[in-house]
Amino acid sequence: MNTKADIMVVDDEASTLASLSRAFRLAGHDVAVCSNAVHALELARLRPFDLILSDVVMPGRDGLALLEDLRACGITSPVVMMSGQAHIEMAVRATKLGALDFLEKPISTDKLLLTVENALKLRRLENENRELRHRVGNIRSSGSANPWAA
Amino acid sequence: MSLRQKLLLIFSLTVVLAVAAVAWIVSLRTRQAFTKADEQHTAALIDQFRRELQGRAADVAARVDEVAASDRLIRIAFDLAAAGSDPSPYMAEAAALAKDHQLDYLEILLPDGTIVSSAQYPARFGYKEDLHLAGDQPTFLKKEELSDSANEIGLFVVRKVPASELPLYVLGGKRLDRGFLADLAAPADSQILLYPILTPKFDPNAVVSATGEVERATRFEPIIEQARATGQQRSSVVYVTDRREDSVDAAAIPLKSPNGSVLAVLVVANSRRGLIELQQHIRAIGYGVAGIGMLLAIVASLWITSRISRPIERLASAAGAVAAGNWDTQVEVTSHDEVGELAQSFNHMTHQLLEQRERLLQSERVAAWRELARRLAHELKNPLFPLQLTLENLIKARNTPGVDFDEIFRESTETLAAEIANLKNIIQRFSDFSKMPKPQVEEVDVADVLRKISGLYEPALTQHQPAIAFESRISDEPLRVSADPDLLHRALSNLVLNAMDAMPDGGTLTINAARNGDSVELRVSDTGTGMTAEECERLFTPYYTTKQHGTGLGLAIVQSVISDHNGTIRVESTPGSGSTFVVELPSLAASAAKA
Repeated sequence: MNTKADIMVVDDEASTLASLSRAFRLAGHDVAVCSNAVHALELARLRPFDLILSDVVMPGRDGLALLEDLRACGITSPVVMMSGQAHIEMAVRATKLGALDFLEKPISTDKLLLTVENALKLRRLENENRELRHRVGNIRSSGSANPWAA
Repeated sequence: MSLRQKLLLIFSLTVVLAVAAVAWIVSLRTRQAFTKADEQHTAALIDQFRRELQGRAADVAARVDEVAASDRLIRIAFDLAAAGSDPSPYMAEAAALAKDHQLDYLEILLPDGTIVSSAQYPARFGYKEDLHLAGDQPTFLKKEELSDSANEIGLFVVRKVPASELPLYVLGGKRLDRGFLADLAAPADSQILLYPILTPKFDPNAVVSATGEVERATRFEPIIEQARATGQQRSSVVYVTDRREDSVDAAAIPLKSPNGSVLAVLVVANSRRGLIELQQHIRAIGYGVAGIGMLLAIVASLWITSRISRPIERLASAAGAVAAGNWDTQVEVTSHDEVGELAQSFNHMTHQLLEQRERLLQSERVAAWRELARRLAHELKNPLFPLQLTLENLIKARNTPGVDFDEIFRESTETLAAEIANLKNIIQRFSDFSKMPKPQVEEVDVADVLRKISGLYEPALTQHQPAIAFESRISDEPLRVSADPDLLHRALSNLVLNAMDAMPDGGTLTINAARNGDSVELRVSDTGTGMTAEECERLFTPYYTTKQHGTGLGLAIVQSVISDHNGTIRVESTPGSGSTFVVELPSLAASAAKA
């Protein structure tokens, strides 16, 4: 499956940002990078990303706060959190806030790409679901209460 | 009151009370014994007196019998029997007869009591003697009036002249006076006094003793008057002088006439000098014993308290030493009593304390090692992630057609070099922490150190984007402490750097330094995001960090340095409004003053 995805990577480490973006680009995805949560939120408002991959521990607002901000602004892009000091409480909190996955650094390229694939699949399923619901809604409002009665 | 004083008081009281009780009992017994002896003495003297009186009476009776049986008196009786005879020629007979028969008093009386002749009062011739005349009366006491109108008390007997027609009587007697007393064998410490009642009022000059007149006879007036008034024997203590030794136990015995009137009072006085002296002696011994007892009590209490309180004092000072932190303090066990047990328990306690501390230290060491391992793993994970990704990217790029491999290679090698440098840096910081040098202390002015640090970091602060305002409030007076200037510089610089890191969005960094009592107080404040209470609590734990790139060693090093300088460090922080690190170092002036 060679679907091209639009991905945003948020991390305060330049090397991590560089190597991650290179890995995604080599896989054929579009990548935007942000070194802090504030910039990331601004960017996410401008463009609907297929996936947002964010580090948790960052100076200023951390990854979990970013996730809260995104949801508060109505941005529904799938978010995957990653951290070098992952512990269970952090993962639970991320999941509760609506993170799609929680990855512990270091992460292999294969695992990263698999995660991207999963996210895209989910995104596509969600879109399909939404479209079908939309159609059902249209049928209900334009036609009679019982479409089979005509 | 200390234990020693209490014991001394108890021992002294015991000794004094015991000695006082013994002295009192001995004194009481002595007094009782003396009183009994006195009573026996007095009774014996009274007996002796009565025997003497009887002896005298017998003597008087014998003499009067002789007079009555004398030819001369028989002849006078015969002559007087002749009717109408004149008794006047016999006026001087009584005096001659009294002299012959050694009688003090002698009267020749007619049956009706008319005096024919009187030896003691010749002029009473023709007067009547108011007497019941009978043949064989016992002797009796009588007050006798003398020719010189003086009175005397005498022992009298009446006898009838035998074998005569005219019943003629002879009244003869002997004087009861000093001579009589002299014949009584009184012991040396006893005195016999006689008071003939010749005047209605007490006459001290009338009191006589065997040796003559009596000094201070008035002292006997109350007891004599009592015996006289009641007619009964009376006893009491009489103080001859005001001194106790001169007091006597006196018994007053009334001497009565046949009709019951008291004619004289005999006083038997036993000196109390012996008793008083013995009592004084007992008291002196009591004082002596009490004094010696007190000395012994002092010695005993000192000895006992030294045995009891010295080990307790040792225990107390050992407990103080343990409280001050010397947990290996041991107390010498010198006895097998309760105090010894206490000392053993104390030693056991300190031993256990030491063991527990050792166990605690060990578990802390283990925990620290675990934390170090965890921290190191985490620190290494961060640079490992880009290293791994970059390598995987390179491999992928090499096999992917149509990519600019050279470009990717250049970029990747840069990343690899940067992360390897990062790894080296991390290892270097851990290595530095393990090689913390020992402080080389000297006198340092903290104000100077802070001014240097301010000068060093002020440009960085102003150039920071956005800018960080800098406020310095350093006391003008020198803030001298004993410190290693390099270590102190590093520690305080670390605090300033931390404050800068806490304000990525700008703010104000404030440095305060001033003397606060015995210490120098330094405050480094930022207006950053602040920290939660939990974060503040873990802040100084080694390898803990709130920063992505911190080793978690900075503040641990700062705390270690401050602690090596006998100082303290703490943080005051409120989330959202910034943090203040407060360092307190002992002021050199204060520690010098203490030393």
